[in-house]
Amino acid sequence: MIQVVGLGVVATILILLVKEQKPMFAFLLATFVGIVIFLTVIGKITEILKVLAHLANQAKVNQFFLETILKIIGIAYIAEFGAQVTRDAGQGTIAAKIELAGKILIMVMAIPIIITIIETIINILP
Amino acid sequence: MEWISDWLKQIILLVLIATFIDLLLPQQSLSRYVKLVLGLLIILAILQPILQLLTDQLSVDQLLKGDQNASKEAAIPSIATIQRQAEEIKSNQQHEWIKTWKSNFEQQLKKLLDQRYPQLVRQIEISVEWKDQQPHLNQILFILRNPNSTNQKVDPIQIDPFIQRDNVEQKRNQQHLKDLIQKDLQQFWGIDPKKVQMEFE
Repeated sequence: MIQVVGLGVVATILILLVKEQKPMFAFLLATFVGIVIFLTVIGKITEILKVLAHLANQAKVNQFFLETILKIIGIAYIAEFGAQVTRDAGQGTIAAKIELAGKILIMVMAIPIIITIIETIINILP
Repeated sequence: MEWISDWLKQIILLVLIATFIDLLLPQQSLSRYVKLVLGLLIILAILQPILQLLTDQLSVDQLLKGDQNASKEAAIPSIATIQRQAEEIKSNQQHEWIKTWKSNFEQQLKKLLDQRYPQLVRQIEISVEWKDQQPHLNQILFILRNPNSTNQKVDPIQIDPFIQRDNVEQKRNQQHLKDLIQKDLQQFWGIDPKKVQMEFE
């Protein structure tokens, strides 16, 4: 955690120094630090997800449920990261589009589930 | 009962994971969507037993059929089969009973009539109906030898003018015999004379 905070503080000071002279470098630095922090955190997230998957397997949770959940988390994180990077670069509209893509993909994941639920309900009702 | 515990475990774990992921999610804008999908997943997990039932196309008829098959496999006949067999046995028994009753009655009739009118009865046909758990007499048909031919072994030579008179006499004789036999039967067994039919050879 200290590493992440240290890296963040150092990167912020550097960006503040560079921004006056070369705004381009400042953006690149910000993106790079962002990626590094994301990568360090993603390792931990993988561990958490592994634990979850293990638990789910032990409890005999349907693989389809687990896959969907993991895909949703992945989409959410990647969309979030991309949106933040573009927003940092001052491209708010593109960030919004990336977020939209993320939302749509998550909804696409939901379609088979919705279909199954609706079919079940229709079949139950006489 | 194992499937219930599996099902409950699955639901509990899904709810736990959903809560966890809700915490992990980076931004509020996406969390609404993720929550929706996770909610749907939990609903699906709750509905899963019903879903399995529907996808296997298990209807009540099929379950009943399955039971019938199982009983066939175990060599235990169904109630319908047992009832059918019982009916068959019953009808066979009735048939046998009627047969025995008929032959006994026929023998007795023949014995009686032979004693009273020797050489007269040639054949007896009895028709019986099964009613109210017992046999009922429908009709008795006697096929009798002609009284003239039985009594007189050698026919006299007949001359034409007398033939007609003979025929009338023969008929009268036959009628008389019929009346006698009907009377006897009524006397011995209480048989309705209407049920007794006679034919002469």
